[in-house]
Amino acid sequence: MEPIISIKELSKTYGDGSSSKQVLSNISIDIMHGQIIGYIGPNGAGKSTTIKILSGIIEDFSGDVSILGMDIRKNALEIKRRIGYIPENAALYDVLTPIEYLQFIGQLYGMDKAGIIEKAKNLLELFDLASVSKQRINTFSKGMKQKVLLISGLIHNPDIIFLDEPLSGLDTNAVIVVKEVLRQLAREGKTIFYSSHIMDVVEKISDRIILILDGRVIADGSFDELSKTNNDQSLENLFAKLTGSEDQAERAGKIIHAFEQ
Amino acid sequence: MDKIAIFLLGFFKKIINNSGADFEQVKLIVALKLQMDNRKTINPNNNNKQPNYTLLIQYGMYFFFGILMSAMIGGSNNSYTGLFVAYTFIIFMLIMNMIADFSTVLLDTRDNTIIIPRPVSEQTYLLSRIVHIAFYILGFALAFAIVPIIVIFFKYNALGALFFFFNVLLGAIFSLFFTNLFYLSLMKFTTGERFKDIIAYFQIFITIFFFGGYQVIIRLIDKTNLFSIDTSHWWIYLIPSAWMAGSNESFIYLDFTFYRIVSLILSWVVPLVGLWLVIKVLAPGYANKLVILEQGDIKVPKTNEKELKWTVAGVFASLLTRSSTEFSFFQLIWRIAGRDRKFKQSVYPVFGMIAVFVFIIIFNRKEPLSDLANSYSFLTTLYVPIFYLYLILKSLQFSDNYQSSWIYKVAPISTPGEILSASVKTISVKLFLPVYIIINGIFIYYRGFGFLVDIYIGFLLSVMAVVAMLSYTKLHLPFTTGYADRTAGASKLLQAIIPMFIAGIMAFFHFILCFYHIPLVYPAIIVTIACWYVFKYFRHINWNKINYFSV
Repeated sequence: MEPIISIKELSKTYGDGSSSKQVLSNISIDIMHGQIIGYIGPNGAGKSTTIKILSGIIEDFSGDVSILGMDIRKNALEIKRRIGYIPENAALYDVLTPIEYLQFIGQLYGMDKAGIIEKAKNLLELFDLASVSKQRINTFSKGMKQKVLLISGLIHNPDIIFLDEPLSGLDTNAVIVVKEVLRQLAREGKTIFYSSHIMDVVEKISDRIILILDGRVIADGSFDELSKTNNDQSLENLFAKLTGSEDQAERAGKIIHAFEQ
Repeated sequence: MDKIAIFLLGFFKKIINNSGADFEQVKLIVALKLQMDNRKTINPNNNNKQPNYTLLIQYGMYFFFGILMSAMIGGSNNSYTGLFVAYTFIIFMLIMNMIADFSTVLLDTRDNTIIIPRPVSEQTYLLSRIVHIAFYILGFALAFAIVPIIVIFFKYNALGALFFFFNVLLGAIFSLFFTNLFYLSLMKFTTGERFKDIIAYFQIFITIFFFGGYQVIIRLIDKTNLFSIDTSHWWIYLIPSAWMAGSNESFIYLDFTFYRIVSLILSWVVPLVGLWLVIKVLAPGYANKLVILEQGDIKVPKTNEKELKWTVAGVFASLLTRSSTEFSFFQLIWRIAGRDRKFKQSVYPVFGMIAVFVFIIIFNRKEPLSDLANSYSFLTTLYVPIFYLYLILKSLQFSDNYQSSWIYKVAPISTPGEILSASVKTISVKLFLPVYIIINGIFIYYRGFGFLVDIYIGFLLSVMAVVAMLSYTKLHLPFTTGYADRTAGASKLLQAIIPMFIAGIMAFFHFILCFYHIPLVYPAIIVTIACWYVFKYFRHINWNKINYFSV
């Protein structure tokens, strides 16, 4: 079976010459159809950069990336039609209402205008935003904006969904809903690639977990496989162990001491 | 109005699709951007619900320029002269307006994560931005054209008036093409990090290029006696306003000479084909460069390695500030003003403008340079820079990181005036003083070291004048407003009018001192004391006078 996402020796460097910084270093991953991939790593590990490359936002990288059997460098537009991207920060045109924003996004995918409005209204209702659908987004809380972002990334029914910290700012109920939405989408055959810092969620919903550190893959497998190999019962402990920051209590003590000085 | 613009865009459907852009997407994006611009004129985050009239005033300004140029067209015996000057003026004004106010639209990175991940080609993305800018530029051109059209109609004929209308629009499209050609070529032919480094400095170059070019063209009129211009000069074919004037004349006289036919062809072909080529050839890579612009800087500023007290910022902060709040904000503003690329992009074109302006004052003279010792030219270089300082300080309120301004509300600051005085002091020392010394330095050579006192008085008076002007406008703390809340079309050129008027008053005051040979030591002492009092007042401004900002 052909992988739906194939990444070969992917590297990315920011900057030129002596001031350059390599954020991804020879990453190779194959992802199969219908998988939920939890992509984790400490801050600055290269998670967002990978997702931006896979979503066609960052174009200058080395290595090969093919999505849905197409080279992302040669078929970016065709790929973009069939993927959804939900960014980390609430990048929205916030002087618009959510309906106006979703209508705009839907039209960029060539969706029928009336169809989008109906679909947008329906989705806003399911995400508890129906009562504010005529308010401008700049009056929304962070969680409400995040919901609009989620809808905008899914409205065109993409085959692959890239999510960069999708749960950031959501309340507990919304987290539960999003988790379930991701699971059901995967059951319907969608492939989901998401980054998160909420280890509990990653542990529960991911078919496969990829851990990166300093731009390199340091662990790759299902949670059961990773916990067996590393003798750990929780992803949080495993994460701390593999990323080399185990003595959290000792460090916390030092931090408090520094504040009190 | 917006709907009419979108309707008119429909006439270009075929050209747009041929350029590689998707017409429907361009239409969709532009319509949305215009809708958003309209909503920003009344900012829902702002307690002040007054509509922003900046754009209307700007249209008014162009209308007024149109009246001035009508006098030129109507009063001149030679139709070519009037038309040439009018076209040169409007093209120059539009280009300067684009560099100062609209280049930020072209380089805007805010919708990188909204548009780029969607199936939108780079040609579409770029063209939608150019059309968005064009909406304002063409509006200005039309406001300019109204009165001259009437004058040409009555003085010459209807066909001449009609073609003036077309040519002004073509002039606007030419301005768009030419400005974009510069910016996009830079984006195309520089790589990664280097592009980020030079974009701010490029603004100075491009301003000098156009502002200098305008001055050269205007001076050509004197040298060639344009009232009976010999159109056989080869260089006439290089000047866009000469094409416009030539083609307009063909329809005024219905007489198609070789020069007029070539002018007619050039005036239509160059702007339209040029813009088409710009989109076709220079768009690939555009989105990628915007993504690079959005990324943080990799380079670590060297100043981080030094102990603060030994840096220039540290020394000036210790000398000029009176409290720890003022000291802290002096350092903060010093660092951000030196590192925030968007701030630099918005400030540096003004520096380019002032550099050319001063160069012209000093070197474009019939008298020898040694006469600078006796002339009053120095009054211009002493006081014209007031508008430079004023515009920088007005730009200081904008930042992409405006949400960081929560610190102002959380920190125990009782008098925000201290932040304002720190802003004025930092900008005066970091960005104004070096420019001021450079442009006035030449007079020291001709007028002797005594001129240092003039510089001292001029500098303090300029700073005081700007503080006074700021006190009568809405007071904004630095970095408290997002660029998104900056109304499209809000003009730096327009903002420069009041400071120029104040500069005139200051220069007159200085002239009186020189004319009556008053020893400058006394005014220098008075100005120093006055400056001390002005800052004392400024530092005590309380929260009631600060414009609301949301965090």
